[in-house]
Amino acid sequence: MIPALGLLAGIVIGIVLKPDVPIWLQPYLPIAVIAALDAVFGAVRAVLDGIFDDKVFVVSFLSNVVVAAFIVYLGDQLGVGSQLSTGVIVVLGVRIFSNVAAIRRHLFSA
Amino acid sequence: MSDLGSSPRPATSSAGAWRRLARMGRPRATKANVLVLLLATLLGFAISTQVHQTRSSGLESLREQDLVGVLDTVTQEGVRLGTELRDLERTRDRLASGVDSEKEALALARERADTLAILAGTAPATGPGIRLTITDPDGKIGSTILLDAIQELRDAGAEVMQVGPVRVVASTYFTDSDAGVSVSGTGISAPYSILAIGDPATMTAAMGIPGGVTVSVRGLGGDVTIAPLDQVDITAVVDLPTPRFATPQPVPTSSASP
Amino acid sequence: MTLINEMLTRPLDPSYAASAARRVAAGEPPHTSVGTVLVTLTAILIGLLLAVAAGSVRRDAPTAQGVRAELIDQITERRDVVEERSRAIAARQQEIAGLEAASLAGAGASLTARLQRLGIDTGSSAVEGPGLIVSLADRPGPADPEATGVDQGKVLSRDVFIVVNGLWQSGAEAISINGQRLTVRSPIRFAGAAILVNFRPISPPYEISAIGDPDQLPELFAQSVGGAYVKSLSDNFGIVTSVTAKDDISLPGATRVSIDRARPLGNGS
Repeated sequence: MIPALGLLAGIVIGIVLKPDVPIWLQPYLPIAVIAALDAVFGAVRAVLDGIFDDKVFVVSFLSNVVVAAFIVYLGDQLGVGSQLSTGVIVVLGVRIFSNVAAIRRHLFSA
Repeated sequence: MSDLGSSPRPATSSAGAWRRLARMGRPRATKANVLVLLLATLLGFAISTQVHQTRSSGLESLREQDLVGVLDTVTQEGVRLGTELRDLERTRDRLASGVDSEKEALALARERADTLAILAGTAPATGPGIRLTITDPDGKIGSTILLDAIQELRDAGAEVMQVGPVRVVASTYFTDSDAGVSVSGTGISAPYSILAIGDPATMTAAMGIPGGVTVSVRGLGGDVTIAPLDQVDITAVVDLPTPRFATPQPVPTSSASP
Repeated sequence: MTLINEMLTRPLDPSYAASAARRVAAGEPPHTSVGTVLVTLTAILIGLLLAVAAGSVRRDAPTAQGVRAELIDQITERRDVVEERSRAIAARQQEIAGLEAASLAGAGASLTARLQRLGIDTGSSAVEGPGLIVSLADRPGPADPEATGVDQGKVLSRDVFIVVNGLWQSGAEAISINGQRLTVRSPIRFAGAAILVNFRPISPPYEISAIGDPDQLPELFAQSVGGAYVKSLSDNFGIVTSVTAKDDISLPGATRVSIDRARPLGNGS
């Protein structure tokens, strides 16, 4: 419950403050969002599996974002930035779908 | 269920398959059926919306630069209409104030008749304008080019025009003839000269737009020359036959007149 | 394939299982609390990230599709203004005509008759009568708004003015296109793929209504270059055309019948 409220609070803060994103950061935003979603769904599944660990959650989130951003940065330097970000999104997307499937099995047994 | 027992193999006869399909299609008021109905409706809605989105209609199908052009034209027209509306309101107020209303009305009506006579092409006119000359050494310029030139000049605000010896009115038409072009039945030949009263600068600029008449004429081996003039006298007039079929629509009785 | 298999079968971070096993070995419960400060802070951070990303995408949108939508909105808005002013102008003209008629009742009967005739000839007054309606519409099917080059299935301004030219040639007395009455000052132009008549964008189907002799107009038009042109538009380019004779057509008067620069010749300046 508390993390859900935290998520909501973060969204509200973002909407109210409308911070300006520096241009150099913008290409990484979509990747960071996908990485964050992956961490969130992984965490929900871990809770339902009964093996949630707060440190693992935080570390997996941060490392997801950092690694995804790094891959995109590397891709940009090599001239294949858009292809690599597509790759990252596909990989994380597949993970999100599998985790959501597991969550669904837990909650609706369907 | 009896069907399942009699034919366990997948669809041995197509009749069996059709029967199964029919049984599935029979309406049943179960919760699942309602849900499926809802989802199917949603899917149908989504498809039709998407199809509607991709189909073009009117402005939606235009490219950005075309939209900019349309916006520009509409904006200018709005401004022009605004000016005209203010003039009309002044005229109406003058008439309605009623002190000298009879004399005033007579003067106004005469003034309006003079304007309309110029527009109708029954009276000669003068004013600033241009002389446009189209040469045609190869004999390839036809009526469509002249028609296009007239539209382009009208677009640039030409008020009164004369092609060769013929006054241009709303109903002027152009056809191809052996010797050149025929304007409302009067044959003319190259070089074609068009006199137009209006803003010389606007008309000169308009004739040079990309994809315009000048480009078409040069593509056909001819050339277009434009001479801005301080005074253009248009003396040709038309003798319009009395309209036999177009009758004025009955004017709804105006409440403004006592 | 191994990579995909790995992703599909073990989507959960393996660290969760590892740390759970470690805790069980140490005699603790396999999971920690969800409500720790660390988790809450991360949740706030993620929420912030989502909102910021969504916000920046929303703000970028006008640079792409948004510009066109914005332009269309503005055009619609100003077209409404133009329509509104046209209606107001028509109303004022009628009021003025009424006031004039009342004042001129005795003195200017011939002037009134002359004005009425000029109204028909110039296109400034609304008229009715028998005639012909020529309708042109784009070839059915989706069009690509970004397509370059000429789409042969689209009606062009040239098609419209060639048909109009044919109708005048066939003896039409008055013509309007989609409710825009043609006068000597009415251009039939294009802006890209849009057709403009009297400086207003009109949209397909383009209905060209002409008043004229019901016995001759249809026949003469069919024989004219304009009639042949209509036939070739439908035969060669799939443009949907129809030519219909009608007993009673009403055409509106033109909104703008004024001159700014021309003066009567011979009246001095």
